[in-house]
Amino acid sequence: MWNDQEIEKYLEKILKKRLGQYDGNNYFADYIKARHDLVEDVLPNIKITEPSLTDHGPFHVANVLKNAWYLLTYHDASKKLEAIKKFTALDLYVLCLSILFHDVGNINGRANHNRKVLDVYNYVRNNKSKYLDEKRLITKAAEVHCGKTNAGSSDTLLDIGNELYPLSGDPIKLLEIVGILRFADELAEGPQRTSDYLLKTDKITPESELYHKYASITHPFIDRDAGRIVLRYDINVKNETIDSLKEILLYTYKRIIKLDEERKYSKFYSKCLAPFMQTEVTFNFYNYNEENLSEELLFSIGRIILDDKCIPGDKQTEAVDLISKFSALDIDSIISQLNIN
Amino acid sequence: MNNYINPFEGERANALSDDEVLQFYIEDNTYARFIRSKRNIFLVGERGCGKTMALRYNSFGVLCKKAKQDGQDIDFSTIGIHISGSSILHKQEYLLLVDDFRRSITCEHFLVLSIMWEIANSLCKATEIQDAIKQESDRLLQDFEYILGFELKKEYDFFTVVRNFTLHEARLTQNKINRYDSDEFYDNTMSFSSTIIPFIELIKSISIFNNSHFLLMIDDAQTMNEYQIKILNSWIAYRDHANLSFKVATTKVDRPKFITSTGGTILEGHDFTSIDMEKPFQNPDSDFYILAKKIVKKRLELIGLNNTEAEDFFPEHPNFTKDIEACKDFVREEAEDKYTDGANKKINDYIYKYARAKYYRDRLEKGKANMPPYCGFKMIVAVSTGIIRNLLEPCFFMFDLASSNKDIDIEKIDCSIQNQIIIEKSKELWTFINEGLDSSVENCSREQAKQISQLFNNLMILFRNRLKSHKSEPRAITFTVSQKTTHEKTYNQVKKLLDIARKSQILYTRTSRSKDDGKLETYYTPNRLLFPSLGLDPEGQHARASLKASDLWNAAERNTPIPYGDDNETVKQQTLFDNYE
Repeated sequence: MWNDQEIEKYLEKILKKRLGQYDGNNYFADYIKARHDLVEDVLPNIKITEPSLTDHGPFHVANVLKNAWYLLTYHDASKKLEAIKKFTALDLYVLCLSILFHDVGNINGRANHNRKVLDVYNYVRNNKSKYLDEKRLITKAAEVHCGKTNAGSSDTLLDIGNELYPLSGDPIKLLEIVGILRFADELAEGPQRTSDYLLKTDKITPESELYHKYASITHPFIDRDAGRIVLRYDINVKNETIDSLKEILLYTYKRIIKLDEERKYSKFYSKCLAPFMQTEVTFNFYNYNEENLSEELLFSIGRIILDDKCIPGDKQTEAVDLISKFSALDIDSIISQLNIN
Repeated sequence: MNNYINPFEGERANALSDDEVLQFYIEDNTYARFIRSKRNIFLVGERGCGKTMALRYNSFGVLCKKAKQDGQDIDFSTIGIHISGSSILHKQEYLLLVDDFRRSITCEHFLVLSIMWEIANSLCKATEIQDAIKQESDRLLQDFEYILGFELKKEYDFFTVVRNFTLHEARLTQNKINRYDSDEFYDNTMSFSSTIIPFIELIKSISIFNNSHFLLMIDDAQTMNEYQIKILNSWIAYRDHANLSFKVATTKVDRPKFITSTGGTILEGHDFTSIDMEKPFQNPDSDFYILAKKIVKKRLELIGLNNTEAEDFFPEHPNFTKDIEACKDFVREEAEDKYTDGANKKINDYIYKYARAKYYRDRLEKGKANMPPYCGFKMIVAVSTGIIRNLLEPCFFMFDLASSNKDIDIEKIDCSIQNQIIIEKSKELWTFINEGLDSSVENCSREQAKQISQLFNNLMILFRNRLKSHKSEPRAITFTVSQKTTHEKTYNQVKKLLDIARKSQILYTRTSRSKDDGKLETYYTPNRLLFPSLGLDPEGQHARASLKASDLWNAAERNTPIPYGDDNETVKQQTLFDNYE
């Protein structure tokens, strides 16, 4: 059973307000139909095809929708909708729809799932030609939300570039939308994506265990007001060995770096994400007593702050570093091309 | 006869001298570890649970005295500054201003002055510091003048000058704002970043403080106004805590919200960590029981009873001990009949649940003449409900009564005295509930006082019924409230009453994980001192009753008995004191 997310409630309101009752209702009906088909038929069955993955079903999609809402709104009631108002009703329609579809390719296997959305899309929309614009947008959004370009680069959003993506004659801010989708998806991590029971009873395959464990300790928080993403890790050390603790910590550090990179990457393309200037991290180490369900906090590490601040002169970047990054700046090469004696 | 000293003299922690804090405090490594860390900490617990003592013990002045006592060097690595109820902190002048922004900066100004005063006051007393800054006082004063933007009177050492300056500034601000014929605003307001941060950096330029971390320990945060709370939260959110961190003590009820001045939020587990100071107190192995023993033992040392254990000073009635054992034997036979496979755990659980229940049940049935004796250290710990002040208070009155009866030194408190005091205090608490809530508790109307009185009377009737006949958890005297989502309005009405009850300290809460779904739940425990005058068992058992919000509201509003779920019980209209009138 689906609980309507805040962004969906806002979508319904804004579609009717800006497009008029008739068109607004039609678009929202299309959205609900797609959601119904995916939530009932497709998303819950990803587990059958890929049983070891962390959750990619309806709960995950709801989580990504929730994250998108928090990325675009403020907690402070006096300016709550300031950022989201800059999107048109159709922008938000495409955003919500992209979120619904972004992971459906997993039903046909995890590998390159971002490029396997078309089948499912056609199933949901019955191949009707009126959805051609929408199909192009949704499949493109799903394609670039992860993975690599055809040329093998990770800069998938570059593919969208300055290309015009219309929907019913109106321009859609696809680049902004996919930036939000990517970041909201990266932030959709946490205990809700895994199962405590399966972890405790060793029913998760060894190769997936680390991902599930990571999900169980991760608690992200989106704070647009303070311009930060907070990652809180609560680690129960009761049954951990030195090796297992080292393993999970190392993996966590990698994921922190990845998330921070996603933050910078997404906001590079999606200007609405500009306020998110830093990633903050805290580790809380607990001893959890299963008999009386109590937690004893052993100690905490925090706040670790990764931010965008660059202090001139601090990084000691030399000219040679610039040249090694951009080979065209090689001085000898320039001089030889200029034929100067 | 010795000069009278009552070792359980229970002054509020703020009124104790540094020496008395050192004398009375039982060090707890858990709290010290967190208080002395660089993390922002919220110490949470109801009044009397030991928050102020924990902060004061970790303050610079007290730890200096401790170091001298132990013959050690003063540790300058952490400098604890206790900030509590100073006259500057609670200034109300901001209320004279209409503009919200001006109110906010005025409140921050007074908060900054309070903190500066406390820092200066703490550091100006230590002679080691005086010696260290003798050479540097001029430089420090010059630098501080530059920071503030005006001249200081340089008659004394640096910290004394700063202390005097803050008082002077507070007065000037007060005078400016108070002038009824003027709309002028005080222009030299100070903020955390413009004053406290540079002040602490300046102190750290003194050699002995080079590596110091300042612990700004703010007490009774629940008494701060809304602007101060937002300001404090903004400071907690401040990213750089290398030089200072905040330790904030607050009650659970009226705990400040987490909103900052800019509308953001501070996050538990990230921007700060909460430490619940109310320990489990259910049995002699619990943390609170162990702490209570240590506290009493330390207090007894003040009157020369150096090797006396708490259980010996407050002995149990021998008949009580004998009768409980007899009940255990009786119930053991029942258990052995029931669990013929000899499962020891099941038999022991059975005895735990039903032995004491049988004891109290038998006495309830026999009526007033057979009230159980309320004595013994275990009993005193039980009626304290896990709150240190509630532990010390009856001990004080018991010792006082024992002293008035004797000409010789007291080596233990007679059971009759213990029983008398506990029953007296229990009755006083009931009088407070039935007659005094609205006149004593802020924001409690007469109607609410009546509702709370009816609610508590009906709760006790429920617990008595359970004790008499409940099949599985007869001694459960802790409850949770259900129907939070299905009967939201009723739930909120009940919650309001329960919050007033908590403020009045006739109800306490614990947060624990539900065994059903693992989610955090609030467990409500009535003040256990309410039970003795009704002949009920204040010890209870490790279980809780789930009560519906609608039933609790009916009990409060209409004085309707709370339905009792056992099939054989019929709900009767009865009064609480049926057996004892």
